[in-house]
Amino acid sequence: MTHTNHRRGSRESLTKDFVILSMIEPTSEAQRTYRGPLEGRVKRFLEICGGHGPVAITARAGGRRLRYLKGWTREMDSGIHQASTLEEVIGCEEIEGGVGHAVYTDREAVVEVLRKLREEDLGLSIVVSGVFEEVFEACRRAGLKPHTVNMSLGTWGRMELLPDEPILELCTMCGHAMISRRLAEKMIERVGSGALTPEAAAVELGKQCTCNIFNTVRAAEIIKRTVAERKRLKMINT
Amino acid sequence: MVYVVRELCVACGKCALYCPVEAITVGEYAFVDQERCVECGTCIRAECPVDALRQPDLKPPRLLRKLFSDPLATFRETEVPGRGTEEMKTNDVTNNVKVGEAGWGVEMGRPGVSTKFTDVEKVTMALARQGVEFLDLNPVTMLIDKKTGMFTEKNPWGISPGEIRALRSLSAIIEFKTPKEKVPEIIKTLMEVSKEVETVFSVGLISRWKDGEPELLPLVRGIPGIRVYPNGKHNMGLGRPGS
Repeated sequence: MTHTNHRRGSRESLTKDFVILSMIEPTSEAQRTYRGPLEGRVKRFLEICGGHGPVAITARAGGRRLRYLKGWTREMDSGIHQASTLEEVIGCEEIEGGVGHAVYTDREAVVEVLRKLREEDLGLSIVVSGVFEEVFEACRRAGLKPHTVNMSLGTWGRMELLPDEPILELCTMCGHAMISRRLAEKMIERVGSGALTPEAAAVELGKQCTCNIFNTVRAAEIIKRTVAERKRLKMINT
Repeated sequence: MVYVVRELCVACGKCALYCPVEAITVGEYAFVDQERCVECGTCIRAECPVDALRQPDLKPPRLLRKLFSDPLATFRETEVPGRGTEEMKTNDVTNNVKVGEAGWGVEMGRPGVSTKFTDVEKVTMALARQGVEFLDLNPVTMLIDKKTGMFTEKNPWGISPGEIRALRSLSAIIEFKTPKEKVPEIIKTLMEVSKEVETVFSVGLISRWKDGEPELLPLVRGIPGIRVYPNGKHNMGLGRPGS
């Protein structure tokens, strides 16, 4: 799984996009039992992440995923896509496994989360996705240095099969490609016609990302920018 | 395989809108192109307003489409949900990619295009000729002969190479390691094979951190046609045991 590695967009847009992940190596008994029960440590990870204004945060609990996503309210639920509140995620008592995620738009929040994780030494493998310089600076200020880095060398092959750049920027925020290009186009179209707000359109896209690593704040900005650009082009052509 | 109950379908088009691979077309009723469908489950999760979609339990080889495409499906063999291994996310504990080594993730069909497995095999064969070390516990590795990169019937599902070649998935990640000296040669190989496939693939290069930067960054910086994207993933080294 490399699902946060190939997010597309300008450096400026990507600068407002960080994902923090916790995970353990399932075969490592030492990591499973390091400094107490795993579930308590993942719960603490979620509490720390939840305290710094995440756009999204996810816990695996009771055989399901508890998903808080900024802007997602219960009226927007559909099928298995059910919203949780931030309090429900960080207060969950039935944590399973070592995986948790949180998404941020702000480097300062990432610095604070990393600083706290370093101090508390939870023994969880922590991965931060984001623009290199931004993450390196966050590391430096938190007193950390990366252990391993995964660099994206981009996409190769039949590039003509890819959608336009704004659609790609939206769709690649779900690394498992659960967001269809048709849906992304439709959301832009509906925002353009005034039928939806950019924020509501971003939530509809984000719901499809079952890992809950979609950044609705960044997506709303991309949608707004694209609607404005298309209106501008339409005006030029008429 | 996912199908539409025609008697129930009202041709609203919702399933087609949510399908990531455009496998659903709508006329008098919705129709699922079974060759294009990768069994990712997105249409089912989109919640048909009249409950006209069905996804019965799948058996190999069709099951593999789902295992490779639906992040909520779990490979029994790896116990990892989704499609690959834990890659570099726990490298601070496993030390799988060491200083002096390059870890690679070539994700066929990504982003959102999907891939035929004939294309997956083209790439694994090209890499096998370079003598790469395919990673165990990766679903693609389980389907190939690691020496030749060709599909083999010696796989956990007991399906034939012909059945594997007929598969399509939203993505299939090929994970392998090489010594760092091989990086330019592997990039050249991938560039060549990228001209032969009918899809796209995204390339990730995993490097240890050394002397204030990713150890492999200087090796790729000057290669013509190669761009290192501004964003990536960083393992923070906080996993402790074994680190």
